[in-house]
Amino acid sequence: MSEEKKKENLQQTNTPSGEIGIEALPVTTYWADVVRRFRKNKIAVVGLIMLTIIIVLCAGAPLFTDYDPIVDMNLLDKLQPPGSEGHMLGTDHLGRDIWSRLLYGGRTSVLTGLSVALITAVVGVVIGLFSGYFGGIVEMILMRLTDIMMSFPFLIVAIAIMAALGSSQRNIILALAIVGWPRFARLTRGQVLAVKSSEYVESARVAGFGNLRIIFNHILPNCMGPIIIQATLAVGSAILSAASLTYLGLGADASAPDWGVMLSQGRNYLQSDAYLTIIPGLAISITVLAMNWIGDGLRDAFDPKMRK
Amino acid sequence: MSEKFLEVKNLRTYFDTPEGLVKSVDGVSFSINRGETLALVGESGCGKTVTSLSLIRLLADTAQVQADYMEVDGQQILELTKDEARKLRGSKISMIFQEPMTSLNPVYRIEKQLGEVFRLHDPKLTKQQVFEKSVDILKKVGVPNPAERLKVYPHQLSGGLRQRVMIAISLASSPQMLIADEPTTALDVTIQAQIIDLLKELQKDLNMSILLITHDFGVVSQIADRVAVMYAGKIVEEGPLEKIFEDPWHPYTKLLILSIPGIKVTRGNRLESISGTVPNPLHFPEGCRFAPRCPYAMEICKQKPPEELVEGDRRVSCFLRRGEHE
Amino acid sequence: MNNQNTILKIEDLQVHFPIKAGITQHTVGVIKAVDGVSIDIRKGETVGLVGESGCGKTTIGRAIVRLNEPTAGKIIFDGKDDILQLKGKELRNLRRKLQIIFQDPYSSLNPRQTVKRLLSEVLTVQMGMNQQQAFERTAELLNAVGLSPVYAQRYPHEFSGGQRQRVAIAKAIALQPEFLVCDEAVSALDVSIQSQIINLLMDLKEQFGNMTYLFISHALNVVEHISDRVVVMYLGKMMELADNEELFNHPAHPYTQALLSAIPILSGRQKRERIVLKGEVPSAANVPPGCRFHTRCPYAEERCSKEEPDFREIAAGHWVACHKV
Repeated sequence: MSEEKKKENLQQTNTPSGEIGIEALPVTTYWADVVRRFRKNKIAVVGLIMLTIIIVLCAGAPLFTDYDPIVDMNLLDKLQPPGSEGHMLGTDHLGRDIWSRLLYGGRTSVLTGLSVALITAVVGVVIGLFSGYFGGIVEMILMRLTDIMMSFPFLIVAIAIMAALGSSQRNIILALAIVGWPRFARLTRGQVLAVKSSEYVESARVAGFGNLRIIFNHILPNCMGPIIIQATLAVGSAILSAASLTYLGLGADASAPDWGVMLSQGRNYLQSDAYLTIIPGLAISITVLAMNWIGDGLRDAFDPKMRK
Repeated sequence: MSEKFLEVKNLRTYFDTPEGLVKSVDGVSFSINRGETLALVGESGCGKTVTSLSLIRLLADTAQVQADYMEVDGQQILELTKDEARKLRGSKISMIFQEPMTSLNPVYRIEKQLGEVFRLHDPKLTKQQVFEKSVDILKKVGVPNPAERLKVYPHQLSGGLRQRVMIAISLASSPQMLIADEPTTALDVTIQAQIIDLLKELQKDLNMSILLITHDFGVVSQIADRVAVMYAGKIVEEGPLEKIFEDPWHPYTKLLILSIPGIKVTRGNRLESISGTVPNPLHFPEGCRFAPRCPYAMEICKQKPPEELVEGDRRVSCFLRRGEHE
Repeated sequence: MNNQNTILKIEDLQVHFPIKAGITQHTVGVIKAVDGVSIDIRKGETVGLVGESGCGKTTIGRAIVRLNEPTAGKIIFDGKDDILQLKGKELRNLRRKLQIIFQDPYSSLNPRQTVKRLLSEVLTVQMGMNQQQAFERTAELLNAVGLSPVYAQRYPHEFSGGQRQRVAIAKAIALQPEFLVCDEAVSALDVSIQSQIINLLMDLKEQFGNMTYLFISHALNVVEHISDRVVVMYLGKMMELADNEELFNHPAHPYTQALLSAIPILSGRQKRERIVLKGEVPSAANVPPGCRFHTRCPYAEERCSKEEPDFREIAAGHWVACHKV
């Protein structure tokens, strides 16, 4: 029905010659279509709203809490359960306000998660695209490199890198990015190999398009689905890996707020004060959940066949 | 004359989908005599394959199959239990498909796939007997070095040989009727000719009926006795091969024949083409289903579906032939 | 055979694919997909290329548009360059003039591009148009292939098979090619749609002036209908080449005769004797010695298995590779 109506509308915009003017059709780019399709997906929009709220809360942390997450210790007030007076989510073993630690900690954790996912995805995808498309010696070198990277246990490599670079949040991101990209390179290369031999890519070559245009306009959009899913999963795993590094004493200052650090410190009180673990755990879960919803929505948005 | 082996009256096969009821087959009647070949011709989506699958009850449970009457060799097909239907497929009716690669199981040797059918038929056979029977039947369908071929996997055979093996498997149960769904479409021209010859020979030897499902008039012209043309879930015309080709009554048949290069249209001349596309099975046109694409459509064609006109050994559903106008 | 009007001259083209095996990927054999083919294609004509699967017809089409790399030989376009020697920018500029339409309209269009974007990309990037010009041209092209420009906003999966093939044709002619390779372009379509596309291809030729077609197909009736000259190939070599009428009325090569006998004849033409060939096409990795057809030829004699026949002209413009003719 709506399809019919659309046609009618278009017919009214006929040019004087009686032919339908193609200029009258709305000009939409691929990306505009992606945005439109994304907005139609309710769950994905909810995910995006959740992520936005999380980012706003963390970025504007001082606006939402009166406590300093590190300095405001009060051992007399330690291990207060959630809902106690003055501390909406309670306090930790040093009497620090959990809500405030959660907000400030999110700055580190969400930033680490998102930037690691972004960097590894971009680097891995580009390497995967080029090695898959060009093949030959380029592929040989790049893929052997990823094989080597992937053959080491990733935490050991990360620890080695951290040891060499020194401890800081920037270096955590760097270390996790260095160990993370081969996964994307592998995944992307596999996709490229499948798409590369398709007739529409061959037909783009016959049309005389340059390699870059073919890679980014014709191959990449058709590989996006699995890459996006992998990227959303990478956010969660980066947050947890960063926590592991911090726990091993390789992260930023252990007293600095960080969801991973909160999680590991809470473990000592798991039986008596489980909320210490549950709260940062929930924060991580909610972020990862929001990311997954966004990822699902993005994957569908990139695929015109999902258009209803 | 000869005895009817299969008779179908008013077969309707509907599928209930989220979008609505899809009437894939909507009132199809035909019969096949012993030893006869009926070709069911039509374009993709016309319901020809669904018709054949309804006959042997091979459709998923979501399909609603109804008929006034559907009889094979005296058995009412619709009254059979699932088990009986399976037995029917194993004994009286066999089927070969278009793509022999996908209808053979790639992980088993030919020996096992062929032997299985013999054993199903007669569990008391010894290994040696099964082997001998397998060799015999492969010889019969023209597979060279049958004893060696039994030891190979399907992918080691060429397309033509695979189709021969498929035919051997379907003949292993000594069926009285063979349903051949596009049996030569995936094959090269010279191999096509071999397979058609083989089918004809086997038919003569075994007095087998063949229901040939195809879109290819070339194949039809080489093997069929009678032709039934399907369009949008209905048979629009049926009759003996020569008559249908020489003097098609239904405009769809006529246009279809004129749209194939080399049959009636000579080189350089314009081929006839049928404008538009096959109607959506969710919303078939009210009257004659071909009316929206028919160059001869009259007012009445859009209002009600034409009744079938039977003249001698031919039948057609068209107002034009009936001579009805208003 | 040298003709002033030659647009594409293929000289002794060979395309061999190595068969690799083992961990070291060493070459254990060679598939001779195309094994020495020479042909002059004249401007504005339609040459039909027929043969069974594995005869190398598709490989020739793909070599012309540089989708595979020939082992030896030349392809000279418009009397100037050997297109097999071109690289980089020169190659990209020439590519526009040689286009191809594939068999399967479901895989030859990028699923993530609307028709409008697909065509305007070609027009802006390769034809140097601005957006406005590209849109106008897109509408013209869609009209030319019999599609309403209203469809421009759709994605490929929203079309039927015939419509998609029309889009693929629009995309090819958007580049104003001089030479169009149609690789089984109508084989995947339903009969009534097939005739629409054949008619369209014939119309476009008139409309766009002097396009040259290489029409690759296994369907002889289609080739007969559309071609001016026909080449019959078997196992990587040309068996026969003649004007359409000459070839279909007086086929000289036994293989051609066998192929022709398989065309459906229903009325209006003399019945041909039906020749059913024995056996199957041998593997291109193991080409029989002598005449490569002798293993299946009903008339083969001693000599055929030893000497390879020359490709000789037996009448004006009628070439055959057979000892017995």
